Amino acid sequence: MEILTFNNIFLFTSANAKKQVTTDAGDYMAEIMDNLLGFLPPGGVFIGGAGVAILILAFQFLNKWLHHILKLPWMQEENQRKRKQLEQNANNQQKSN
Amino acid sequence: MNQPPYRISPLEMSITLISMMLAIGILTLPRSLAEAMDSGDGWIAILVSSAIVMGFVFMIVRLQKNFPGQSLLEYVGEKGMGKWIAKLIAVLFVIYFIPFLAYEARVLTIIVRMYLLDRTPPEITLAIIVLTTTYAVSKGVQGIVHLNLMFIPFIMFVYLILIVFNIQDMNITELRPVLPMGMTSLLPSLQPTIFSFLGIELLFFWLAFMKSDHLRALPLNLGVLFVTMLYLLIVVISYTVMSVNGVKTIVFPTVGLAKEVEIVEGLIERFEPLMIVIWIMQIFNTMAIIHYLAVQTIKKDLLKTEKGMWIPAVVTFFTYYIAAIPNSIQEVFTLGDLIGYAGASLILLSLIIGYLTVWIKMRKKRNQTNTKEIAK
Repeated sequence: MEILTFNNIFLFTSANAKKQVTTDAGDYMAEIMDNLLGFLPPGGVFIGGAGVAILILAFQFLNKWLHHILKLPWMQEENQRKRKQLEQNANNQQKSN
Repeated sequence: MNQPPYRISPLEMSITLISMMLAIGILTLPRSLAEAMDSGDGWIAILVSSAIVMGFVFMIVRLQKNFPGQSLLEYVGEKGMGKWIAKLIAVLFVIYFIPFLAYEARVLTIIVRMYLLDRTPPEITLAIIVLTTTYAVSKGVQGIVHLNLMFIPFIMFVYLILIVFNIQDMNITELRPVLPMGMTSLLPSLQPTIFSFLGIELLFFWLAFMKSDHLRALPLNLGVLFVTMLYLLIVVISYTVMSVNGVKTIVFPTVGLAKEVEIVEGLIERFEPLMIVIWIMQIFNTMAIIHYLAVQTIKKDLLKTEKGMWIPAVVTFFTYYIAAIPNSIQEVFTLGDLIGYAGASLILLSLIIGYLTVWIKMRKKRNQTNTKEIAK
């Protein structure tokens, strides 16, 4: 049986390989930034995430648009309101008769 | 056309709770218990934790009876200071749900890469699963609950096969002696076990979809009992088939257990891909619920808007980003532990605030009635 231990599983490591900490005394600011934001994944992940989010938004808008243009006349709010009005008028007329 | 609002029946709620609780814990629990206890007594810890969780479920349902048809945050945030407190809890829940979703997604990518698609980049797996859960979220509570109902029989069937076909290899001596270090040795094992039962926070949000006369703790606790039995059997079988020391060295012992399965004289030898596929269906359910809860909390409790078409996409983006933060599997499990602590603290905090709000509102009502009576 293949045994998978903690030591032989490192995923995302290529993407997340930590940047070398700058030891140059002159680059003090870069070191601070690295310590503060060093845990964040590289830019590629950000772009990937943004791509997924944009894809979702695009499909949602497409779905909404298709719903809008494929609505049958009776589904439209305005027509439903008119229908209700007509029904009410007919009921009132029946009552008065 | 006006449709009546969707109501969740007790059975549906119970199954949804089972779906929410069964996630990563089922794969890792035998190992985390073996590491924490260093003996085969993990099954006792499961029973103790289950009793604690059942107590919490009872308390949540009892609290919900004070405001049927409303979620806890809606009730707390009705007026005055409560509005701000509800907003604060909502922010905490969102901060909890998004990394929780990210953690589940990340473990899924690890499992898929390890056992199914070893050459597919994890980023692709991650993107596909979050896109799928976003679609589930767009179908609302009803869609997600019905997905749970649809998937759970398959999930149970596969776990049943896993358990039944391992019984022949069991060696009960692995479970003895029982509690050699005394009852106190149970304490460190309660943490991983209780974390495996996390998911009951769902009740704070979705009990609002139940009719007031359906609000009973029994069906929900039967769901918890079901999960307990499943955990118990898997832990006992893992220890007795692979030994306690063997389990400690395997990252996902339940998958290891699936590798041991041999159905009808080797007719089906590679059972683990099937198990993983079914487990993905299960984790998809859990992720869809968490994703929906995050979106719902932002929409209803934080922004109080009906529109917010961009919210699922933003949640997905943060999920994707957070999921990629851990560098190794150790860091992934550390993230899991942090989420576990956050979840347990949030459940406690929500319960305390909920009961305090009920007490304050009841006292106000009583005072008002007294003043009216005196005025008469």
